[in-house]
Amino acid sequence: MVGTPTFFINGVTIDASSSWSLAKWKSVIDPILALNEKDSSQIKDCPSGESECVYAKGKSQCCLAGERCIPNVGCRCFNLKNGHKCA
Amino acid sequence: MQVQIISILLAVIYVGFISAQVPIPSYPDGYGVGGPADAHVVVEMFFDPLCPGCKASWPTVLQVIQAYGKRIHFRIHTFPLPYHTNSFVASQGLHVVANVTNRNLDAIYQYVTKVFQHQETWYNDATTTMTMPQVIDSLASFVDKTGLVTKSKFLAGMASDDINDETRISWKYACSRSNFSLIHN
Repeated sequence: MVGTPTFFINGVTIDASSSWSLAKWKSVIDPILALNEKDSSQIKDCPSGESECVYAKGKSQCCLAGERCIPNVGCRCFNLKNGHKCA
Repeated sequence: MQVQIISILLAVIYVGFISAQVPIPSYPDGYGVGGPADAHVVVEMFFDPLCPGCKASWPTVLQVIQAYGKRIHFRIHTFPLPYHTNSFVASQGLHVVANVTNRNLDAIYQYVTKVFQHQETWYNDATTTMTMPQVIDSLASFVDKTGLVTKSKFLAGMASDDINDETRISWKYACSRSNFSLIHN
C-alpha cells in the first residue's frame, strides 16, 4: 500500500476514487451480495439409496447411506474409525 | 574464505528478513461497523486523517455504511503517510479515542468525521511554526470541544507508549497489505 484512501472489498483492492458516488459503490457491492443471497435450487429427486435433506430454506442435498442431515450444514457423517467413510 | 564470509552475510540478512514479522495485534486491525466481520461483503478503507482525498471520500463512505446497514461490514484502518507531518499524531488520536471510550464505534467514527472537517488546521503549511507538542495540544483542544474525550484524557493517551505502539502496529499492518490500484494524495 502506498497511498490513501485505499479501499478493499473482501480483501481485494478496488480502484475506488474519492469521486465515487453511492450509486457507483452500489454497482460494485450489490452484485456480490446478490450472488450470496440467491438460494440454490431445491433438489427434487434423489437417486435410490439416497435421502433428501432439506438443511435450510430452499436448500437441499441428497445424503448417502449413513450420512446425517444436519440443519444449516447439509449431509455429513463423522465416522472417525472408518476414515469418514459412511457406508 | 571469501565465499564463507559471503555465505555468513547472506545468512544474517536472511535471518533479518524472517524475523521482521509484523507484531500480532491484540485485536484484528481496524474499527468495523455495520454487519458482522464475516458478512458477505467486507469493505475496508485505509485512510490518512490529513489526506484531502480521504476527506473527499468520507461523506460517501458514510452514505454506504448507512445504505447497507447490517448487510456489509465496513472497516477503517489508519495509515498515516510520512509526508503529512502531523498525520501520525492525528492517527494516534483515533486510537486514543478508541481506548478511552472502550472502542465506542460511534465516538471513533465521529472523531474521523470531525478531524476531516477541520483537517486543514493540521496541514504541513498550517503548522510550520508549531512544535509537535503544540500540534498535539491543538488537536487535544479540538477533541475536547467536540465532547468526545476530555483534553486531559486525550493528552494522556497521546503520551501513552502502549497507544503509540498500537498506532505503529496498525501502520505496519497496513504496509503488509498489498495492492495494485492506488489513489494517492
